[in-house]
Amino acid sequence: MSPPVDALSPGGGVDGLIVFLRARGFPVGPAEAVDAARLIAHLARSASPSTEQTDPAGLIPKLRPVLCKRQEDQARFDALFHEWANALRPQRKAVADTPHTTTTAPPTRTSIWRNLALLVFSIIMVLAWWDSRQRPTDTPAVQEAVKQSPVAPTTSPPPAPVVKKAPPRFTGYTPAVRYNWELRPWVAGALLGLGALGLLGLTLPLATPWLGHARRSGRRVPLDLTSLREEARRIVPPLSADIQARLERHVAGPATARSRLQRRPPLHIGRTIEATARRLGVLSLRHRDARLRPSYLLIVEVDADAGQTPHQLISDPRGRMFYHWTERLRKHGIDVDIRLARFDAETQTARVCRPTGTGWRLDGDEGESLDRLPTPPVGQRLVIVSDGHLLIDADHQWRDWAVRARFHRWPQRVMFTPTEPRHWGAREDAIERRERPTDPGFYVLPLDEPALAAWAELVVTGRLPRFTLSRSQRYPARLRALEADNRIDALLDPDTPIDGLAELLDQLKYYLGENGYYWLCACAVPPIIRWELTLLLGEQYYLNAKLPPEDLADYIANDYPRLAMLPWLRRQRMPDWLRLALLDSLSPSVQEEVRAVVRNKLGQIQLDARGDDALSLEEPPGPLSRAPSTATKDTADTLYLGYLAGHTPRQLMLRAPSEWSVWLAQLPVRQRTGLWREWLTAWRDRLLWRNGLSFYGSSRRMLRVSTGVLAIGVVLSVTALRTEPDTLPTGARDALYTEQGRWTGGVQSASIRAVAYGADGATIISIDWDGGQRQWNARTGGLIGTLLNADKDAISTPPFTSVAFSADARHMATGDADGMLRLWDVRTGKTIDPPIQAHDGMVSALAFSPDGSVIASSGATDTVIRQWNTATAEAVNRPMPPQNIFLTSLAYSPDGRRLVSGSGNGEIQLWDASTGQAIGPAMAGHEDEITSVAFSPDGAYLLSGSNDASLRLWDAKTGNAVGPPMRGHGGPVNSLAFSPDGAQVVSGGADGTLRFWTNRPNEDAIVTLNSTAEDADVYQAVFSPDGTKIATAGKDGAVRLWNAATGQAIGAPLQGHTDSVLSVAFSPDGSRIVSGSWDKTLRLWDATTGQAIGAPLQGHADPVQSVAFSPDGSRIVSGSNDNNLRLWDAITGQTIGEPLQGHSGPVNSVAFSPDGSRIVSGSSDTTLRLWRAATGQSIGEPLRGHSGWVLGAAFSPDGSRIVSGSNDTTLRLWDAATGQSVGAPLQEHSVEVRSVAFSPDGKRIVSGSYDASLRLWDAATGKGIGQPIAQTGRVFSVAFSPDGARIVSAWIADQPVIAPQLDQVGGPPNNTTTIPTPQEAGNSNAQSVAPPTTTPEAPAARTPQQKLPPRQKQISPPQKPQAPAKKSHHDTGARETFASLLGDIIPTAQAATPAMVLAQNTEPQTRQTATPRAILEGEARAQSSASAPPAADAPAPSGGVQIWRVPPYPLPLRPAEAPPQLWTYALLAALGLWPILLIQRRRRLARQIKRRIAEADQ
Amino acid sequence: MTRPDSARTHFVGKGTLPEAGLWLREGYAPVSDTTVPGHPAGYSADEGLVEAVNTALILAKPLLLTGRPGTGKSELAERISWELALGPVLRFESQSLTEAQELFYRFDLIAQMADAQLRGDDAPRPPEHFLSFGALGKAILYANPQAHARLIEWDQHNTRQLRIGGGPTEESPIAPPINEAQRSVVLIDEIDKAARDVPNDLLNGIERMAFRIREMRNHLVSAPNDDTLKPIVIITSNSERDLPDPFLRRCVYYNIPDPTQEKLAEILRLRVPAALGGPSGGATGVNAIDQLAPFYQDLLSFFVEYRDERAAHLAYRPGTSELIDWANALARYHADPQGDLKANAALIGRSLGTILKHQDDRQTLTSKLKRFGLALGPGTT
Repeated sequence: MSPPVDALSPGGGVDGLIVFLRARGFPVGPAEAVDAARLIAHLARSASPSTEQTDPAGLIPKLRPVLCKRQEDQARFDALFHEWANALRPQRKAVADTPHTTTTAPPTRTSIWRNLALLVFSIIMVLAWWDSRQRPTDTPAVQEAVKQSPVAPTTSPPPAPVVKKAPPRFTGYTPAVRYNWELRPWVAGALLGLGALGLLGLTLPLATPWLGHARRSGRRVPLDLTSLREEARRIVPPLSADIQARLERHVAGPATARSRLQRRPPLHIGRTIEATARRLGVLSLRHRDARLRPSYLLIVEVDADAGQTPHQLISDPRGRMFYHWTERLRKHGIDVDIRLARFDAETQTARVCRPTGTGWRLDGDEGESLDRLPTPPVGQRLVIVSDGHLLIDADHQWRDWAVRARFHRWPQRVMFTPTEPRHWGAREDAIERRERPTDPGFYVLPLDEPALAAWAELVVTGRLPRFTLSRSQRYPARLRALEADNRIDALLDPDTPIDGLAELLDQLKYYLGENGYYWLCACAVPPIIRWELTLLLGEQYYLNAKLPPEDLADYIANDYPRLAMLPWLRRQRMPDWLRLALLDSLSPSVQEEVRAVVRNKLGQIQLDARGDDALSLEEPPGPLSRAPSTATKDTADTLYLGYLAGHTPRQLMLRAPSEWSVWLAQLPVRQRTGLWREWLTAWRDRLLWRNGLSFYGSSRRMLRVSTGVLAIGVVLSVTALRTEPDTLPTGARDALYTEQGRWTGGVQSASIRAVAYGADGATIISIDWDGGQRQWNARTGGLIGTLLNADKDAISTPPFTSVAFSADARHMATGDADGMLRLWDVRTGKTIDPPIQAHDGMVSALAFSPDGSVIASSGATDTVIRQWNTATAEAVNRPMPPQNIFLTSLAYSPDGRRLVSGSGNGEIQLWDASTGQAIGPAMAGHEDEITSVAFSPDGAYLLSGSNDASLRLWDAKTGNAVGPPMRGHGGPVNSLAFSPDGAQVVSGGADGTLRFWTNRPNEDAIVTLNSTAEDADVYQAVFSPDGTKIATAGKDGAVRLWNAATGQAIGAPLQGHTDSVLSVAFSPDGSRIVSGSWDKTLRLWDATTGQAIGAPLQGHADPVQSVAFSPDGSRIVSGSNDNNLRLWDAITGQTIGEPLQGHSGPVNSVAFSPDGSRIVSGSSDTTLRLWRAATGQSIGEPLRGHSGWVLGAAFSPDGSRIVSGSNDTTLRLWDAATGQSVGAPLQEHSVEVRSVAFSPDGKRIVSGSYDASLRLWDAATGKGIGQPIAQTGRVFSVAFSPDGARIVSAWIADQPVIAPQLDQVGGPPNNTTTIPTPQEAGNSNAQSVAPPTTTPEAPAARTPQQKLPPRQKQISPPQKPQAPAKKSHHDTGARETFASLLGDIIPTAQAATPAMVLAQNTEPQTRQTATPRAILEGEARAQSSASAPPAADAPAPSGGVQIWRVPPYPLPLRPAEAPPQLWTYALLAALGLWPILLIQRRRRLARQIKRRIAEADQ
Repeated sequence: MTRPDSARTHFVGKGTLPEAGLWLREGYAPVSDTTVPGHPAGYSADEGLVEAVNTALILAKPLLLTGRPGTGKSELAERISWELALGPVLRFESQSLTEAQELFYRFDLIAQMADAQLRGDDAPRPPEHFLSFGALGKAILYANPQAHARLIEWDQHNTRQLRIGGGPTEESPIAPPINEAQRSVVLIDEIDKAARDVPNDLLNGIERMAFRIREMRNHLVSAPNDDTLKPIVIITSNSERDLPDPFLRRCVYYNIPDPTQEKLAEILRLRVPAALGGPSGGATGVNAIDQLAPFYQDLLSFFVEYRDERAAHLAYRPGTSELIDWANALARYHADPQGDLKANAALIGRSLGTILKHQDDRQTLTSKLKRFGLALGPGTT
């Protein structure tokens, strides 16, 4: 048929589809493929391209009949086809547009992300909703009330209509200052805890390789009872699964053919001898050194009742042996004292006698009493041969004489018992019981035949007994060889199996016998080896073997000693290879039996959560436990000997070796109190077993969990540290963060006790608990200083208990614990009057009446409110009745008629001050004691502060709470005060902070000066020194004065200049104003009358750019476009000296240093210069650094630094002394910076730029503060108010844009309003500005053409200035420069702004003297006026002057704002790498183990 | 006997086509009235089926249809034939003893032997006399009349004989002009009923559209090598068993899904005129369900629920044809079209036999009816 036609192209074609389908496992045969191709080809042929054919989805019903042969295939084919079409889609953009493509796309993986996005979205929505619910709602009733609130007494007029913004709605008081948010301690703790938890989880596995090693070698793993069974189950099945087949091969012969149990001799003599010899120091026989030579006291009990005589005794083998022993020792020079002892039942005494030379005499009363034995020489050892009857009575108590005998004087003593010890029971216990904590007690040794024979052997031959006799010959030869070579460690090496393992196993079988061998195998199943566990397993093994329990001890005692001799059990570790090999060597049935032993025993243990008592004896304390090689020896021996004594394993456990005794004494206590510790231990062990040691399974899960926890912790921490709390929803922020306020004026060390506003409302006085008084700036919160005269000691001794300020803050009253009331002068810190004895007990509350004539006080004990005349110190009015709770605060209403009290139970009560009647019900709302109350200045509101760290506002009439509680203090609120105008509240808290609250919402611009078209464009606006007035330099040639508070003009404009006023300055005393103008003159004005003082100050050859008064007001400096500065006498108006020459470009800015000694000037020659104010000499080199014209310059208030703004868009800080640039340029403005100013406290800088914004800077760090304040035009001037709380800015509108760009001036005017972005404008400006060095060199010779910046040179002749006559008066070159300065940055703004046009229209004079630029603009305007509407109709185009509230001081940087250090990231990365390393290491270890096991198997 | 020359090649599948010709049926007079019950004009195919038919037409391959009984598989053939103005549908009903060869032709060997016995050797009748063509054989024959004129003559002759006892019928509607090639639709119904090897045996014949008549010395009968003349083969299967893969490979396949309620309503509207009378009257363009009388609407929803909701438990799932039968039966019982199910409870009970085909389903049906507010009396089956 026809070949497949690529009809589906572009994008793969039908064969592509076929390939795709086949790749997905959809069966497509060749016939189907051919059919499909034919079909497509036919479709392609038959029809013009229609949607049906270009749309892949449309092909589905066509292709489905061909490619699907079953009903089930159809749905699958559809899905696959969609998948294929979707994969194709990016290549087929044209096709993708068709509407059919989105019909039934099958679900893909993107749905996960969609769900995730939905989830995130919904969370955000919930948060937003929550946030909206958290916002407080307004209380309409309050708005009414605020209208009555009086204005401040000092600021006169009512709010003026010129304040353009609507008055804020009163919602109570809100914090006036934003404080630092710090994480609440519990949040921080939780974050740290999460991180720590994750770290812990990650660190634990780090330790596990080592611990794993320790476990495999059998060391240092306590018995984790609760996990034993699980672990055993885990270990056992893999073994059986892996090894079973080999077991079949290895185990020869049927297991049933072997005899199970054989009766064994009960005692292990060899061990007995060894132990005895070691313990009793027979070894020291070899030493000839006298010091080491022990002496012996041998006491042999004779049974007098049985008629034993000493001779008989000696003839007795036992006696003979001791005789021989004695003889032999004596031969070696060892002193052996032999006594015979006899117990006299009648007298209950024991007597001893020495043997005579020929025999032994033991007559009735002869011999000395046993309890009178002399004090032994040092090192003497006591050996008693007795059945114990001598020492112990029938009740298993020590006999009295035995107690008196003080056997503990022999630190080493032993008792040989002639009878089988296991029949003794409690008697032996009693004998072995130690008498003192440090006393080891008796050793009890058997004295049966083999033991004595062996002992005799030792005694006779003097050789250390190797006489475990025949049995020792069966000790595995390999082990013996290794032990002889001191290579026991090779047997214990956890990783390397020894050579000849099979041989060793054979020898072990031979040595241990069948039962013993199985026992050993049982011990090999659990991964740990403990003596107690070994015994328990043995017991269980024999029990499983259906042994009669009464014979159990015998059998165990038979096998256990040999087991105990094996190095693994003695060292308490068994390597894994041996474990596997041991189990490997068993037949399956036996193996199952062995495992049943472990299962049964450990299963029982598991049932008891507390574990077996015996098994809780896990680790003997002390250093011995760390050195198993020495400790286990003794342990093994002790246990063995205990076994010889016939104890059950449980008893044996309780008979711990002497080294354990101290610890054992504590055991009951530990068991009582150690529940949670045991749980913790078990938990830890389980963790290690499963995750750190087992090399299987859940370790990865734990790593994952730990990593997750850590990651969450890190993410949360980073998020918490990097999140701006202000961006969080209110509720979340309050829950997570706490406000921490610290004033820049100094962190308070002490809790603030009381605060008060000064009479002017501008300062705040606070008094600390320790009596220190401080004065603060009420606007900025800055610390003004401590009150100099405050006699701290005088105030604080005796300590005052309450304090109150008078309304004018000049007086202060304190009450002390004695009920004395004192008046103080705040300024002098002296008491005014003799104290008043006001109350019997502590004065708990005080209040001044508004006029200061009366003080109200209340005592803590009498709870009576009394009022005192401050002048006469007499009581006025009647005391008010006692309250049921003491009052903590008092306050008078502003009219003095009412009194408000706050009480210790959080209630507020109003009183009539004269009658003492309560007014209205008590106001309750605070959760804790009220600490302070105050009336608002209008008396309408009450404010209360409480120990619950909140302030509350109350309606004084209704008693209702107004608004939500004002929270913020980190502790109790101690004091609060209203500002005189009621607009502000200050509160002092126990956290050492002052907090300011305002009833105004945060609005930055507070006043806009009344602006009409005439006065709109202002080049400079400055505050008067007292901050109440503002002077502006108008473009229209007038200087205007404004009320800084209301924004209304004061008087008529100060007319006189014939051209635009560029600069204006107040004299330091505020009485005069100097202005510099385009008309090259300066003028002096009387600031109060508005009259010009004297004639214009002439001297400059070019427009005066900048003027400034010296700080003492005597001189004026001016900078001009003629490149010079001039000094003027401020009184006479005469120039002082010669012009200050040095700049090569127009001087744009001048300023005096604060001390008046220096002058700084900034010039268009890109430099600043410092001048000596007295002589006019230049100081040092020019300050170079800017790459553009320096437009603004200012000294810092302390004179140490200079800030400059330039049209290179940056600000720079300079060291005023050295002239060096300080720090990096402050660069955030997008175009040139026109004006700069330091705040009065020197901590901030404000800059105004042509990019229509104000910017606040931190003077210390050079960082911008907050957001730029946007203006509507190019900012020409900025200035701080003298108190630093406000900024006045002046700008000139540059919108709407009417004229074409300068480049197009020659062309037809065009009304498009394309406004270049500031960047573009700045760039174009930077390009257009001539290099500074080429700017005017010879001003007089310049022509306008020459002076035009390059861009302006392109202006065609018709755009030349039209007022040549006027122009000739000016130095047009310099004027050009200024013109370009005015209009340069935004080419589109070079057309006449409406204000300019208006100026031209209304003031011809001004127009005539307008800048060439303005003339140009005017012409352009004239050209366009035919088509453009009159400028006056343009919508509100104007510049303006606006006063801004300075945002409150931000607090010191939060620590978290410091960017995370590199090492933090490195640490995190390292933490992230750990798990990988760990997993790899563990895998490697696991591989090694497997390999070695495999090798061992071979 | 004029048939439109413009041979349509595109299958539309639904609606009344004005240009479509008469409805031809083998042995019946042509029907021009589209309102006749069972007329293909009332048939409506879904989109997938239409595409499948078109694909089969394009590829000239047999179309294998599966689907549950009553989904209109057989009617499709009539529709195609009518819409494309082809000859009558040639049906071939598969039976358990059907052999593949019967699809092409049958040779009456016994008759020939008997004939030879009777006549002796002198005048033996030609083997054509004993030849009768199967559905596909006939279609192939008529598709290539020039090559097989003689066989066609014989076939027509034999047909006449068979029909009326040997005498020719004058108005045999199926006798086309001999020289005109005619395309036919061949319906091989329920091929899964045939013996297992039938589909395999059919393979070559269907693929090549040719067969040899062994009794005529392997005379080759083949369709012209023109796809537009090749017979259209529709094979239906009830999915009673899986068809062999080689067979599937040679077919275009489509599974007709169960009709939706909407579709059923449409079918009812067309097939059961008595069911009309809904709120919207007979206006076209509105929802087909709304055009039904309330009673039939309820009946329809009950049917669909019964059919679909307990599908897994039903021993027999009634199909579309059952619904049509049921509705027709009820209409003939004069059920009140404006009443509800309850009003016609007695009639429903009498007519349940149309959908209740298995005793095991009775319980299900009764409970379902109860949910619709109907309680069947005893003995109403």
